Amino acid sequence: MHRPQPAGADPIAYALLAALIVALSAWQAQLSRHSAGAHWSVALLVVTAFGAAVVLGRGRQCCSTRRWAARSFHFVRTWRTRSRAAVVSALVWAILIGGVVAWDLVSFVVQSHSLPTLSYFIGHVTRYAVGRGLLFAAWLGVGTYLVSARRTERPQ
Amino acid sequence: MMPAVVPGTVVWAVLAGSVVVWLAVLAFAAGRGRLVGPLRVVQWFLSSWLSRGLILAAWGAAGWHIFCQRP
Repeated sequence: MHRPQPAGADPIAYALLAALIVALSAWQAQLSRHSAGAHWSVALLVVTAFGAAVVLGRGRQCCSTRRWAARSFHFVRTWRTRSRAAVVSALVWAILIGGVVAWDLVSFVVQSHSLPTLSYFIGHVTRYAVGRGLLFAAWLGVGTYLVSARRTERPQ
Repeated sequence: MMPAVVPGTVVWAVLAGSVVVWLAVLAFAAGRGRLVGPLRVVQWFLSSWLSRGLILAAWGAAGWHIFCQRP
């Protein structure tokens, strides 16, 4: 089976990326949600992330969508033959992720003070400059990981 | 200011507690069992173009909502 290999790590590139994330977060911390700077920077970063994902992933995505779906479906179909640990893990993750997404959707649709959404709680952090800056750095870090992780070295 | 305790807050607390307990179980079982950790779940999402695109879209939407709409 072809396993994905980690791409070569360049320490200078990582240091520059980390410095860029810190600088952007420090700047973003001073902005309000209504400012044009906040809107443009977030929109530009999202577009850049998609562009970078396409450029970095060209020929280096570890499996096709069809193969990924088939393997996932095969796992579900043959769950009785899997180890108990794998089945329990998949079940718990599905319940936790599904529970968070479903409850957030319910709270969002109902729009009641007695059913706050997840972003309501996050708003208690982002209303302060430090909280906004730290959360922005975390958001950028997660985005960087989602764009660059799980790539193969060689084009398939 | 602490958010008021309403029925929705209790549900969120239960969900957050469940996540913490599950992560503690994973940390306790690390190296001994074959439980699937959070990194492998994320890597499963990143395995194909479609799932990577969807999770990136969710990331982008979350960023827009948190930094451009929420206080």
